Amino acid sequence: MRIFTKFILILFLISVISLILGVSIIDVSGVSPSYIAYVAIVILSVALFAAGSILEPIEKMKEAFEKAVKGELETVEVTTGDEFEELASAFNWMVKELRRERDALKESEERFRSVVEKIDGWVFELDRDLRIIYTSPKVKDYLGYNEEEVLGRKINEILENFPVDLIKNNEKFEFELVTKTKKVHPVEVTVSASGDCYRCFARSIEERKKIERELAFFRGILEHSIDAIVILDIDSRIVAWNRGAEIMFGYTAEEAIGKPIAFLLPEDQWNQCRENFRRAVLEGHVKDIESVRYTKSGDTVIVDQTLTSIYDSTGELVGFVAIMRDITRRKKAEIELKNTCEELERRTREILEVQKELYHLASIVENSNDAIYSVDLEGKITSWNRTAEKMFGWSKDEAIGMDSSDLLPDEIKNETDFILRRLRDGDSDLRFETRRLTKSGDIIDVEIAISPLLDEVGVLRGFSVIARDISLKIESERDAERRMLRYEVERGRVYFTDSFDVAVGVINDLIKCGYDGKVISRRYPEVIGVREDGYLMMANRRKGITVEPDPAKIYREIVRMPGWKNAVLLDLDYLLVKWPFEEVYELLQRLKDLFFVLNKGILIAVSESGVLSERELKLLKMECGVIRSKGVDLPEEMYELLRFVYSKNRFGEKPSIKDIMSSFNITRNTAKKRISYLVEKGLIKMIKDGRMKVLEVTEDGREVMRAA
Amino acid sequence: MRDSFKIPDLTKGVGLPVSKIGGYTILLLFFCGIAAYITSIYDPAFEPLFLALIFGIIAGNFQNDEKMKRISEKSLMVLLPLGITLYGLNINIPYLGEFRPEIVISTLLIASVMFVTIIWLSKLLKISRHLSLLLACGSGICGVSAIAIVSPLLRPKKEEFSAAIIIITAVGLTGAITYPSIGHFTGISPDDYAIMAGATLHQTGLVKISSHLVGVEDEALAVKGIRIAMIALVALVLSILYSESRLYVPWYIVTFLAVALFASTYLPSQIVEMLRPVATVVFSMTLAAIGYSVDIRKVQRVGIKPLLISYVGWLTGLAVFAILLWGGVL
Repeated sequence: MRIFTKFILILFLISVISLILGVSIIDVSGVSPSYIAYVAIVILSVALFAAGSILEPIEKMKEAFEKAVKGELETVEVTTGDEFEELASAFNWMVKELRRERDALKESEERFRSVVEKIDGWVFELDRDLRIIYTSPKVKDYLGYNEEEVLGRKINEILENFPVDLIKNNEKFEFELVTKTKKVHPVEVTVSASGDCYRCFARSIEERKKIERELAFFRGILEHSIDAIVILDIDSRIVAWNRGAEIMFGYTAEEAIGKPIAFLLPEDQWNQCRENFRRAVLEGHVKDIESVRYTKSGDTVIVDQTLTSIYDSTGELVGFVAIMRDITRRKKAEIELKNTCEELERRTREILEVQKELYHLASIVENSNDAIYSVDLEGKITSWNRTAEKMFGWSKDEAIGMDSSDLLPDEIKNETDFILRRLRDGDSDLRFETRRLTKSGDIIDVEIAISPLLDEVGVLRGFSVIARDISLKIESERDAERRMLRYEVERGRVYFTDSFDVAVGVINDLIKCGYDGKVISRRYPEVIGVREDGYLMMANRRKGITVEPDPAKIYREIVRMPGWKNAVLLDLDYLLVKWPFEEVYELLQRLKDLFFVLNKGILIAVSESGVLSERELKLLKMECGVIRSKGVDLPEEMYELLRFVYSKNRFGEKPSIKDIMSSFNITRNTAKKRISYLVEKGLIKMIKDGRMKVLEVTEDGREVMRAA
Repeated sequence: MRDSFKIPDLTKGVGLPVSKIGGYTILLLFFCGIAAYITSIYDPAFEPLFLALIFGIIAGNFQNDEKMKRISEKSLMVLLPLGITLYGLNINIPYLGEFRPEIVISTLLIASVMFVTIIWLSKLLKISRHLSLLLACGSGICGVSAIAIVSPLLRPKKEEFSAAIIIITAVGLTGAITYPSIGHFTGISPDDYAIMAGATLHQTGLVKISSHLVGVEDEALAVKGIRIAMIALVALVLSILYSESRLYVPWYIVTFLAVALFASTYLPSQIVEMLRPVATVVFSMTLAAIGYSVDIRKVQRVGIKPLLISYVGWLTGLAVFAILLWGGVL
């Protein structure tokens, strides 16, 4: 029952009792019911307003309390002068305190609101239905919406896939906000349930994500770098050891972390290491430290190290990072490269020298006294030096591309083919005397040396010709030979004789004059009186010193003879037995051509068996020359000795008695006797050359030799 | 809910409630008015307007139907001006020539002293101006009917209006109960008793029952008629004082005065007597409508002071009567 009703009832009860008592005093029968009603109305009215008057301050207090509960802190004006006024005064004091606290709270709220609004993050509150009931102004920055656009809306209407379960579980999570303009904004959302709402704080982690990505990037670089990257604390103890370091040094990260970096270094490098750390502290970093490190297996590696100091945000040194690159192979390669460079330099010098030499040689070739030219496989001249111009008359421009056969007289037009054939047969040193045709039509005697021109794989591409004009030499030699030889024979000729003694005498005479003697016969050498070293026996069985009695093979054997001072004795008897005369005759014709063209020496064909008919003998003598002997009035051995001394003197040499002994294979006394004989004849004289006695031909002796 | 009521401008049309609940509300108000009227017939001391207000308050606080309260408030737009206009039939402007001048002057003096005393005390005790005027009008002129007529002009709060009616009724009943005893113990003449009742009691019904025991009912009502006639003047003055523009009198005051004048002079008394119940019922319905929408708790919160002021005002009037009586003026 309410107090108002209680007051009414109490006052009414008192009034009724008073009325009953009053009525009872007056006279109940004289009072009409209306009057009782009148009194009741009056009493009720008075009671109504009395109660109202009493309850008015209570009602005011009640309203004030209700307003206070609603946040409307208003004071109550009660001037009843009773306990209600005191209560109202107390209430007003409470209201003032509450106002002060509210103002303080408001100020605090404003402060916090200011913090919330200015904090770098989006603060929002959701009710139990996940509707946004509060949002800080930062929502514009984070979502692109105004506050009015999001208030009252469900979070999922604004942000699809927002993890509402995590919200309800008060969990901290990361989420990517999609703004109004579809821009993705990674945030970290912190949720705290407060009463009937969830208070959420979304903080941008874009920078953190970026740093994380960069960290991951750098971690990836650190982990996958082939360089050893080692992070050290300020005591140079290892705190990070990457995969590259594991591979390079063989230690795992667990094994390496905590150890000082010095455990990788030889002891003699510790001082240098300390110095590097000191420089890194002072200068910030030290580069290009080439040093030796030990691996777990005990091997050494050479590293190129960079040592850099690490500072924290306050600028305080917190450690070092050492980046080491294995340059062992590079170092080896450098050494190899250095050696190669040196080798290259050496070879370059050689090449330069060779080039210089080549230039020199080219100069020599160009300025040589010999005519030098080259011919390709088609017989075309490909080079032509200055001497060749002088010797043959054609200028270089005219000669290049000219057919080399144009240099050949008609009788030796096939010389080029002959040379090429010989070169293809493997003859690499072809020298012989021949003739050449000059531009003016003169024929000159030349000594030529043929060298093959091969390409880089050894294939014949042509040949070079060194030609020396030996016309005068040939002429003088022929004169000398004519004087020295006891028989009238001439180089480049083929002779026939029917006397083995004459043939052998000519051969021996030629051998003594410097010819290479060759005897091709079926007869034994001792029978015919020749030395075995130049003997070839005609036999069908093959052996080192045999040749088959075949005209073609004999021709080939003679052709292969080197040089151009060959004195060849060819015994025709066995051939004539084996072959018909025509074949032998044709052989001699070919040999005649050969000796004439190549000026290979002198060939003496001999036959004394009587197998030849008169006609055949006549044919042979017509085809070949006939040998004639000179008349000299000296014994054979004396003449030989004089000729020996004469020939030596011609070359500026003066033979001694010892030379005579060795040359003629005679005793000293025999040599002295023969020398005394010639001295007495006044043909030679003995003169002193230092302590030795040498021999010189007198003018009379020269006359004898000239006459011979 | 509006705290004050205002007479609407009927020229702009009135939206009458036509719904079922509207009809029910009007019917309820009608029953309240009829019940009050029937009760007042049984005993004139039971002022129909007061009873209608009480019935309305009881019905409204028991039902506590906001929709019906809104409808009852809306019904005031029609009932209040209509009731005021028709209530002019209950005003019987007396011919002052019938009275002795000292009676007229004394009556006017007593009424004026009561009016001024209440206004002065209200100001002294910080009672609201509207409530003090209502109490002054109710005490000095003709009780509940005067309050009801001037209230549209003053636009008081409904609880103040209701409290004023209850207070004036309570004070009047106190006088009605005690006057016979006063007459008996003081031994004043019946004529003087009639002047005392007519000049100091608040409502016509109370004058009637208090003077009925002495047998001077007509004389007392005649004196009371002088005070009732003051309503015309007071209404005119207040309407001018409280109008938004000078020299403006609301149309229902004009019609009220016109009906009162017409009924007192030219309208046959039989017709007036026939129409008076209608006017009373309609005005009772108006009070019932006001009571229906008022909260009794707010009514009682006006406190005891207005009641005491009203008592003091009444006693002052009574004291002035005594002075005049014993001073030999009457």
